Amino acid sequence: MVSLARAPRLTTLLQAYGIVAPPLAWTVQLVIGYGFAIAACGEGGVSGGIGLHPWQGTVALVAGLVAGSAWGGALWLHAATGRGEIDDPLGRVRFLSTIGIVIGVIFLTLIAFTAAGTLTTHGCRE
Amino acid sequence: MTATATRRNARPNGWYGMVILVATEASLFGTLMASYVYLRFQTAVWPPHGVAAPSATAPTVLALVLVASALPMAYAAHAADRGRRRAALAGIACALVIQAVYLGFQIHLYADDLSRLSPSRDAYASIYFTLLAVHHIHVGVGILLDLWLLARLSRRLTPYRRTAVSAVAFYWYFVAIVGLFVTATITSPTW
Amino acid sequence: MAVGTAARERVERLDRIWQERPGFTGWLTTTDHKRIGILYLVTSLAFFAAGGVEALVMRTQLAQADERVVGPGTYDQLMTMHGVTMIFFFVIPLSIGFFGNYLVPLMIGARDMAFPRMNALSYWLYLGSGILLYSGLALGHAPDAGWFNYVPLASRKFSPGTGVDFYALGLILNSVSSTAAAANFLVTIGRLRAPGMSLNRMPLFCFAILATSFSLVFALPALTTDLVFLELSRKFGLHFFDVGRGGNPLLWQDLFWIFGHPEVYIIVLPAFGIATSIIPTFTRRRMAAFPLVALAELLVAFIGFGVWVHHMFATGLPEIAMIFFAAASLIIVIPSGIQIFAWCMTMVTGKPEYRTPLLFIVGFILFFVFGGLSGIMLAAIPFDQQVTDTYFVVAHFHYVIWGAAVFPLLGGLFYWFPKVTGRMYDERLGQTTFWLVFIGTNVTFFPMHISGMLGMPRRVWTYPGHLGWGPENFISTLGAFFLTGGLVLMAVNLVVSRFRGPLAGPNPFGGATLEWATSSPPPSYNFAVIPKVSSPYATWDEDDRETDPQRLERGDFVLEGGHLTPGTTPVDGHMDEILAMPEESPWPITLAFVATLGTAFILANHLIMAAAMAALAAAVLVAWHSGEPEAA
Repeated sequence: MVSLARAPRLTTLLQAYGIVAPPLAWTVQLVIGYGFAIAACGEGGVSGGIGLHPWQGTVALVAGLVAGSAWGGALWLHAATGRGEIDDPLGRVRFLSTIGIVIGVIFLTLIAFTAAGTLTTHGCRE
Repeated sequence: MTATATRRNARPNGWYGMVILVATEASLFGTLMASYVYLRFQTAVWPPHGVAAPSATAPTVLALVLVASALPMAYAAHAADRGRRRAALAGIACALVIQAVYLGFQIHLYADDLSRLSPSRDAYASIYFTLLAVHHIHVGVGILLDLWLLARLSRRLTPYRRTAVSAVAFYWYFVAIVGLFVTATITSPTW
Repeated sequence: MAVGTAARERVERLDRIWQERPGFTGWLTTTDHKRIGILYLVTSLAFFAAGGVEALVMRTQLAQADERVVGPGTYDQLMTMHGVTMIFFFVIPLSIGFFGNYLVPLMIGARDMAFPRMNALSYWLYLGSGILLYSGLALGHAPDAGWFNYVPLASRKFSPGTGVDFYALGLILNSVSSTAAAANFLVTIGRLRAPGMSLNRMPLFCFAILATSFSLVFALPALTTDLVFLELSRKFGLHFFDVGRGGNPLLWQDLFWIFGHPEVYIIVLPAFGIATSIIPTFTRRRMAAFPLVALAELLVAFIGFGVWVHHMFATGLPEIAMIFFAAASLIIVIPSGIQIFAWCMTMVTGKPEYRTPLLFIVGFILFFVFGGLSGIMLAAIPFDQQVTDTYFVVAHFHYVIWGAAVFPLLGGLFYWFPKVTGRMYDERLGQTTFWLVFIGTNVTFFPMHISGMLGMPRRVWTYPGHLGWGPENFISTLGAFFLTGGLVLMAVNLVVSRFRGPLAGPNPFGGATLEWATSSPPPSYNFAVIPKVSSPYATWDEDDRETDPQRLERGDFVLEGGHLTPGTTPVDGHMDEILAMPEESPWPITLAFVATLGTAFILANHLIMAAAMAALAAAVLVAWHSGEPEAA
């Protein structure tokens, strides 16, 4: 496993990814999930031949993987700062990795809730 | 710590202000394009029967022309930052010519469309003409900003005006990029 | 400690440089964030009174079954104007226009907002839009389709009068004001913080305003698009919302609520900020979990963009579409909960002193929890579909908008009263006010949960007697008048204290943020010497505050060479440049006047005159930007 001690670029990337990726993943899930549901269940019946559950499931899976990997990255970063592997004089990396962990948990839960909801509904029932 | 910092690291406030204005306008275009998509995917037939799909060639070429006009604008901002007033003027003037020609063609196409289709015919016509009009208005405002810059730069290049050039350049990058998205949306029936 | 000669001379120079024109014209051309804040304060309270009167007439009409105090047409106008006034012309202008404007530059150790002239413009546009809307009422053409103005009711076919146009155009003008204000706050918070104030040393109130401003920037355009679609439909017969022509009435609702839900967070976030300012002061303790509270404020704003369809659960949308928003509406409780825990922990582990401001915050927490509970209930689609459009929803949102958003504003008015006026309010009357308003609020809005669940619909102008809604309505009306009594007492207290209250001094409550480190009221230049900052509780940092007089004497960060304030880097707050602030200017009020006039011309269908006003506005903008503030 790569040590973060000599990977400053990766450290910066993980900080940013941990904070930005989970909210973005959920946003994309919401926009294309809701959009697809409206289009497929609407008058036009536009669905490009893709079923409701396959679409929502795939979107949820990808969102979950992105958010999950971001969360993992934040956890790794947090542990690395705890071990003193990273040069962190202002405590900024530790701070941002903590924020990343909190954000990851919240948005992973949200993505999972959404997945549970969209995958247990029946067709276009109102 | 002294109060005499001479070299600036952050961008000037006026530039940030323009970035935020661009953020609101980007959101505006986002909602307009989302409305187009919303209306489109709730009908099976789009454009509706009796309405011809828009041609893709002219709009696409024009969109690329507008993107090209961002280059002299960027040059102007670069020159202004280095205090080169005449070079900045030249860049803005060059961009202005391209943008004015662009807008002229667009207005011509718009009028042509209007002669064949009324905006009050249906939702397709409504969103088509509205989305385009909003973009053309943004281009028009940009041209006015160019004219103002030319007037201000005709005499001196102060730090305030330098900020103005970089802010207006940023505005144009946005208008050009959003033009690509608007064109893609408008011509989407032809994909 | 004796003030040295050099220090006195510097202060005199600052006084001269920052002095504005005296008298009435001074108020018209002011660019001082504090005076602009006071303009917002007075105007928003006037609209509060108007909205309150509208509410009282409505409550009188509903006190008993089959009343005829007002007819249905008037009731619809009252109801619409009450909602629009309270949201757009009272709460938001008071929170960000007064509290935000007055306090943010002070709290960050700056001398003004980043764009002082645009700040003035925001205020005058707000006033113009309010006058425009209320002129509709005066002409008998108030909007009457509800504050959310659904189509097809709001379409030309079903609302042929001009009321809806007053609504649409008034709000478009108002949104320009709010967008400008948001941009101003973002750049101010990003670049005008005192040197040394890195983001983690910025007070939580400023984080709240930051979150609010981001929300405004991204939410308002949805409303603008919606209103433009509506006006194009009404004036030119376009068909965005007409089913028969390929449109969809739900498009109005989607766009409206994409704006409308973030709007309610815009309403409540500054209140969170006020709570996080008041609690440390009166508990003599730093806020627990500071970074988590800051994060929670930003998260609430962000997730708040993804819950909007919960206002549309009863529109017949497919479940699979709505469920996204039920999930998000539940999850948004988490960041709200983080803040509630932090506030409660701070109070429990501190030494709370229950003076008037803290009492209002305790009331706020109780109302927020209660309103949040009814909110979670509404997040469940099946439950929502039972109580939608009933008084249950009215109860919920009044608990959160009135109870949770306005209580901190009332507490904040007491808290910062000594700072703004230099005098102290009457504490006993203040506490009495709290109890009257707290009890009155519960008596007014609690019964609405019950009448709602008994089936009483919203927006009805009257109801028959045999449905059993009478007692709850009567009690609500009593509560409303009781609550009003408390507010009248508050007004008397503050107005009399303004003229005859005892002098308050710079820091009567022992507050921690920088506004308490300067005089009451602050001088026009806020701080004689830009404060040295090491934490978010800068006034409590005695070591830093002790250096201020010495630095004033030495001329260290006094910047008395002009109308100047430091510009710093966005994240770390490192000194970056000296910013020159503009002096007072007639252009903001002129531009606002021209814009309002132009909007009125559009309303009246004089499009050529409107275009002329647009050209005039461009000319004013050119004149405006001919004044280039230069650093000395």
